Amino acid sequence: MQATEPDPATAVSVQACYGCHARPGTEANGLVSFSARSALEITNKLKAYRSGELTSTVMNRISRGYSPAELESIAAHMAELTANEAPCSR
Amino acid sequence: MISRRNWIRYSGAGVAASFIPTSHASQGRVVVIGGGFAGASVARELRRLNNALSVSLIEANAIYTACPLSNMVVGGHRKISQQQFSYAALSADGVNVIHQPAVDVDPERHLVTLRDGNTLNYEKLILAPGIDLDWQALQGYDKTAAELLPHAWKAGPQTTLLRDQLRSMREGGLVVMSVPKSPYRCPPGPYERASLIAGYLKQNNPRAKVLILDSKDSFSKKPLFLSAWQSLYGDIIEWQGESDGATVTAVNAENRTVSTDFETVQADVANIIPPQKAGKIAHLAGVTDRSGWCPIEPVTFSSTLQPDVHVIGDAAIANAMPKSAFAANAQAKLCAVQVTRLLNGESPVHGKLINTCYSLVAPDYGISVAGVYQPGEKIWTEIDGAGGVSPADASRETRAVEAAYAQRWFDNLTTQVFA
Amino acid sequence: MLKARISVPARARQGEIMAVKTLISHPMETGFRRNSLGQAIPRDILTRFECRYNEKPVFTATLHPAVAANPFIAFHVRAQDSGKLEFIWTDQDDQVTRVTRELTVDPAA
Ligand SMILES: Cc1cc2nc3c(=O)[nH]c(=O)nc-3n(C[C@H](O)[C@H](O)[C@H](O)COP(=O)(O)OP(=O)(O)OC[C@H]3O[C@@H](n4cnc5c(N)ncnc54)[C@H](O)[C@@H]3O)c2cc1C
Repeated sequence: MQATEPDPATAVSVQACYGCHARPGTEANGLVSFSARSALEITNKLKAYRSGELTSTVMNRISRGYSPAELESIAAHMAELTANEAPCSR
Repeated sequence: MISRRNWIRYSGAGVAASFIPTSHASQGRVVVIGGGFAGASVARELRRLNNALSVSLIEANAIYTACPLSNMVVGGHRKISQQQFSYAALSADGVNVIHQPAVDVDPERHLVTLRDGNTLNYEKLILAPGIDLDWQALQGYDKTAAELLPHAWKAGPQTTLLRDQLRSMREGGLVVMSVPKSPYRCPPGPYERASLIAGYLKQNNPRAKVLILDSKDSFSKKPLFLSAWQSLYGDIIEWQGESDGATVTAVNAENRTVSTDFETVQADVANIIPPQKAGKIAHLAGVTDRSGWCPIEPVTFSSTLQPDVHVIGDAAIANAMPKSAFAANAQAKLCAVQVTRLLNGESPVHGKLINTCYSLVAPDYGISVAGVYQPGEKIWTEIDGAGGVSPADASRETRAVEAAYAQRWFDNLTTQVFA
Repeated sequence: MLKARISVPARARQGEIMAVKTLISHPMETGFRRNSLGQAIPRDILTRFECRYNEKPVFTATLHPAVAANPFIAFHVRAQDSGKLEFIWTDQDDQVTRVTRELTVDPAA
């Protein structure tokens, strides 16, 4: 199955997340994985990091670089990729 | 896709033999020089985004030796083989990997010359040659001197040379490190190295000391490093900055002495990290400015000096973004999107980038600096209110988590780029 | 008193040209910069440097806001008689930093 085309800026942002987090298909190698998380779950987490409600090592610092709307589209695209993209070699 | 404009330009210039588009399925032709974190990433991403693209990667070495975590090799915690990666996966993805140095670029004719004399024609060239050490910058420090006083700033034999010199240093010896002014590759790298050297000495040579002679007064994560040094290593590490007169001006390799304007220090092991500039091929391609680095248009990473050339990684002037493997990979992914779009006649995307650099003060003690960046008209700026360094009062558990993340980040990145 | 470093020989032959190097730790704040809140950072600079050799000025310099932080000043002095070299930095508020070095001069060979 193919993921629907996200807007290009969101696609770029999600690639930036994969600097640390495993791309779908390589869960073993990354930091905390997103597998089996819904868009809503990811959105809520990112927003909680942004507001400081949740604390982590670097996610508070990084999530503050995005608006809540940006975090929503990032989460949606991430969830979609995880659900849709067939596991690949990387 | 080749735009009509380009096609006309190529035909006009006399098409090189290697560039023969087939009638309809004409494909873009991209050449990448340098297969490090920037170049290998961009080559692979281009193929992932559009597998009709012809992508050639020119890389001098058959095996890439990664710098991140190489200070753990110096400190004796990792083997150099754990830093090494081949290009087999890139070839499998359809990247045409050519193991030769590129010796010239003719931006006018869109031509790259290889050492064996063969040439490659490109529609878009991506330069990712990393750094060259500036052998003119420090009196007495040239390639021969580096065999005695290693820089270990390009991972490989230099890394193991420094490790071995530490191992065979006399009891109670002095390790002197010389650190350049910014910009240079991996801003916190020298201090991570000093930490891991101190850790090795504390275990194996407890009366020995590390003296850092720095050409600047402040550095990345300075308060975190200074307090961690105090608590983990007591007085093993001494740091002197520019206002202490510590800027190194000359070295003598045979005598192992390191000189500032005010004193000459006798070292037992000297790790000289010299000033740096963009890799030589960038100079030959005419994309460097007086600083020795490559100015770019922020959004697309295209050179401001030559058409159809993009520069990414350590060689590029990305302003607020540090010269790191993380940034090199992030820039590569964005550049791949932009090049693909430009070849399709689409407009570039405005995207934000992230950088996170971990430093290991000890194998189980990590600290980090992160930033989120956006491209402006002229420069990449850091987004206010985001980013920053690990908290000063974090617990040892948090430091251990960040240390583990440092290693998992490396595994994730090298898997994406090379596996 | 600011932190200063001096490099000058302790001994020289009469007539010898000695290289002298000085560095002083100072921010040389221009007064043109703003902090992250947009407020101007007040000017704070050194305005004058002087080297005296047995009370006689042998080198002087006027420092401007354009001089980088931690001014490094290097010059040459001809060795004449044994005695005292004084290095004097003055800031915009006439605060003085003074460092003294003894010099022994041997007769020319
Ligand atoms: C000790 C140390 C620790 C570090 N730790 C970290 C860290 O923890 N995290 C982090 O993010 N970064 C770290 N870095 C920085 C990181 O290594 C660099 O920023 C990164 O390697 C830059 O990637 P690059 O692709 O621009 O250059 P490089 O990785 O240097 O790759 C350039 C490649 O181009 C090739 N090349 C050059 N010229 C030619 C030519 N003419 N023809 C063919 N091939 C050519 C070279 O052979 C090389 O393989 C560290 C660096 C050091 C030295």
